[in-house]
Amino acid sequence: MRVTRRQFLKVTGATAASLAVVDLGFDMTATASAIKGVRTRNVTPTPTVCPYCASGCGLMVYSERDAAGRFVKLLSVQGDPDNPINQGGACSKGAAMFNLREIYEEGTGKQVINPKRVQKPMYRAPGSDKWEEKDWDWMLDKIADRIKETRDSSFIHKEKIADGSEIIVNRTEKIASLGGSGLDNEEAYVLSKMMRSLGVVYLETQARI
Amino acid sequence: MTNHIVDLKNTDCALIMGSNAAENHPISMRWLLKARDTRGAKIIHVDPRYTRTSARADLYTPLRSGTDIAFLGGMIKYIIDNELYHRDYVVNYTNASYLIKDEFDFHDGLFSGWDKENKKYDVSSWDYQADANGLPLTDPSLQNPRCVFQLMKKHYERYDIDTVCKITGTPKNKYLEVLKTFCATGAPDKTGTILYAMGITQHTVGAQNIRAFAIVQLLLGNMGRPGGGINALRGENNVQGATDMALLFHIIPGYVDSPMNTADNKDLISFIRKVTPGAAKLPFTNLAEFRELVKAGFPNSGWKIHTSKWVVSMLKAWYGKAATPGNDFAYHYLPKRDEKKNYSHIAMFEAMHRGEIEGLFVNGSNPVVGGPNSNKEQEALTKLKWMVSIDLWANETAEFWTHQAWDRPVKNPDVPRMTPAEIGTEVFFLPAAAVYEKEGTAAQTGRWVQYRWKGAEPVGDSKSDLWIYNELVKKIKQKYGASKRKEDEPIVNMTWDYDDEHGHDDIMKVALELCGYNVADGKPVEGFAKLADDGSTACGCWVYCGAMTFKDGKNIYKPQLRKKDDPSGLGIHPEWGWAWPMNRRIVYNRCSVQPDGVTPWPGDAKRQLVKWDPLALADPKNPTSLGSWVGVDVPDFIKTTGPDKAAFTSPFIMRPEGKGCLFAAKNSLKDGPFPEHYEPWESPTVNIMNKQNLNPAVKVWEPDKQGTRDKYPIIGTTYRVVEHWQTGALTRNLPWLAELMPDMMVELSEELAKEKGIKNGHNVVISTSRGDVKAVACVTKRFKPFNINGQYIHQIGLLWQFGFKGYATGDPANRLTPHIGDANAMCPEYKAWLCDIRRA
Repeated sequence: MRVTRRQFLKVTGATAASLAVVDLGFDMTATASAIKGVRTRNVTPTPTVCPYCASGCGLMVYSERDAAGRFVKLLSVQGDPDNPINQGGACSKGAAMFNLREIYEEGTGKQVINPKRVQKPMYRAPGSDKWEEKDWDWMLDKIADRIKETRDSSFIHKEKIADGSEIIVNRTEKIASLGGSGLDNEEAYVLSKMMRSLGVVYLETQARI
Repeated sequence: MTNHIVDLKNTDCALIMGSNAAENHPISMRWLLKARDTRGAKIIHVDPRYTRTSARADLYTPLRSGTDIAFLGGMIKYIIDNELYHRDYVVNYTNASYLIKDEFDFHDGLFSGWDKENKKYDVSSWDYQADANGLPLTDPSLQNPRCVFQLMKKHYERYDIDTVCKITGTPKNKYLEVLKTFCATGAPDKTGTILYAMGITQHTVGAQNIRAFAIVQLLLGNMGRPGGGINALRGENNVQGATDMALLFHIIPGYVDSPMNTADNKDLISFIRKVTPGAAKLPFTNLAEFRELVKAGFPNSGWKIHTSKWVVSMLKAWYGKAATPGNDFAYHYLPKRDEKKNYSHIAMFEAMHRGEIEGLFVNGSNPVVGGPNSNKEQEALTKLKWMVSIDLWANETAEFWTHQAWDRPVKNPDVPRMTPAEIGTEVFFLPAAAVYEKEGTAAQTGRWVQYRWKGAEPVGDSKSDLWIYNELVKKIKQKYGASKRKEDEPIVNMTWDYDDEHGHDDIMKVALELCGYNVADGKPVEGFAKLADDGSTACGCWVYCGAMTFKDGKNIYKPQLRKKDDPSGLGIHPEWGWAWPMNRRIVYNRCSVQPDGVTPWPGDAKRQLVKWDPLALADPKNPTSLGSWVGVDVPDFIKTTGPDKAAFTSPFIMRPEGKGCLFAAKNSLKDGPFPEHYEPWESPTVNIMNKQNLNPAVKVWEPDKQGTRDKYPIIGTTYRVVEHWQTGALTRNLPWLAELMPDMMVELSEELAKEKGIKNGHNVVISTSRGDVKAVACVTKRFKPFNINGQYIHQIGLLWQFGFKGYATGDPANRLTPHIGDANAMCPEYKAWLCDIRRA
């Protein structure tokens, strides 16, 4: 998808936000026109929100796309000038968001996927000192087996309570879940629903700590 | 936050306590600087260490870690003694005038009802006096000695400036300046904001620290108004959303208590009776009868009178056709936790350490670096049968079984060392897509829910977490098949229909269920006031209801809105994303107008958010529905509550009494209706405010691990830097950031450095009763020794963001921190403990 300068300015809000960015000693309007045709060719800007602190600063992911609109590579990630919270600003972490996916290789300067990113599911057998690559189906199948084994062998369906009566409690105390504050809402929601339907009560996220 | 980030520009004074906002939430500082530039606002920073925030502040003063209640208690006393409180606000919008039961009392650091044997309070005396109809008795003149105002005045009489400064180590002149500056916002035309972060919550009195903020802000009339509020600067990009979705043991989505294994939770109707305020003694035996009572209204309930609608709609969303009026809408499917047990983070790891847990899911979390007493938490992981780690990186927790994970800087017989061969845990690592390689929403610290679009493809075979959970549940469902076992019903009957026509996960399907739909036609429910408890609506999390709307033949997901307009000029931006609840940007905003509902506070017309308009239509389709609340923000009030109703001056609609609570009645908190100063678990001194050293309601997990002053004379605390985020997994793996902040460091004063023969850049070892870490010494003027009641006491600070993985590596500071938490929230006491330091 080709992006015209007009579209670029519209999406980045460079014109409207120029006042704010001038505040930072950086005139986006001038830059935007100077870089037209060079820096904006094949550029797709996509708005996102920073994954670090919870201020909610908007970031703009600039990527190169092929003629069919398919993602080719990352160009840069910068503050979203439209976002009213940060108006284009970014702290050092926000400004380094490019590295979350890609880096410039030491020595060659070549743009490559961040080598620390794990690209395949990995399995560590009991007692082993190494990872083994596995495919998704194998992994999910094994995990589902473990969940079922542990849940079924530890499940408390009914319990006698203080007044002598019996109530349904449907819980397992042998499975625990931790984390999730970096998930999107939709993901956190399905995780909450899944864990509770499995009967998990050891359910905790970073809000606690 | 009760307010939001952009709103900080509207303040007259900001009190930043327990937060290094400039470094850890930099953009918040930008809006405060704007407030200073445009309104002449003052910025106050109170922190054990002089930080980048202090450098930007008008006024900085130190306090010893863990003494915030002393500091704020003195502020409460100062406000009362000097009559700086906003009287009209206090009388009308808080429970200051409410009379408290005669049995309520406080002696020697203990509130009435202390049960010595069981180490907990019987809270029955922490309650209002009531008339025959159960309505609270009040004295609006605030003179009755049993009224909240007088009891509060008496409680804080002991918090005089000299005593406070002896406890906190704050220079008296600086303390006075803080009191004078912030308390000036009690003037009706001024507002002040309080910002805090983990420096406030990570204490054995964490929840009461925030309660003390609440009292200050209510007395000064700062809640529910632009430029005011109590504003938590939360640490994870969607920790707010994860809390809303109840990834916490004690609640189900939308902040309803999670059910327990007790008689009052045994079926849906018992549960509704228990979780609906004011319903305990009402005559009803089924939902139909209850509905009639709700319709008529009953006292001491507030907005939570609608809880049954939230619960039933959630059950309907989760269990679909299997949730029927005939089976309690499948309420019995929900797990009932053991009332005698605690399942919070620390408790989870204690249980794991005892070998009680077989399987653990770690969803983008890293307790080997971030957990308290991480030596113990790492050892706990070895007792698991299996662990699933979902992350971008094989972080320290994913690789807890490697040789590297058990390296320690010094030999310590109390600290376990293991080899991979000894560790039987089976580990599954699932590579997750990064934030901009997938799409979805996140709720930031001011409750703005914003959409993040997908800007790149996931690397390699990594997948979005939604894909992972979706596929995993499909597998699990397959394994259970059409099982007829009663215990399998919650899985077999759980609705799980998130695939589009091509078999890919469709986020809009999840979003619709989360925000709510009408069962009959599948269209979004347009706001939680329209949720029902008869099975006609399904809604995963009621506070998100209203985020999805049906317009021009299609569903619009409001977090995707990107219109920047700000008609009020107050930074509300009503069509930028969406805020819960109901796109309300400042909660309790009824307080931004005088009790008459019409007149702005004197001199403050520009910051009035809402008002009662007797001529506005409550229902646009009904010309006779005259009288409604209107305003530049969505009113946080029942729209039709007019001056003819008693609740007209009750802005805090989530509270049964409708008032801001200076006195936290009944079971609001476990450790007292007023905040009281107690020392941290590990303290270099004794409590001079009362006879209890430690908050009596706190659970002590490891009594043998309490460090004492003779062996560990220095106060230790932890903190972060702007270049790294949380455990560093997401930053120490980025070359640019690793280069900017490459080393684990400990900051100490010049005075302590001299005593210990440590120079800037030296390698040092810091030890506590739980372990040792190595760090690079950073000797600065930013820490100063404290004078605590005549004792000369040092405090040091460690970065807690390092581990053995990534480009930048170092020891996790949490190998030092204790396994003890707040009495209410169980948040670990990371911020105040005892240690020693020496050259390596």
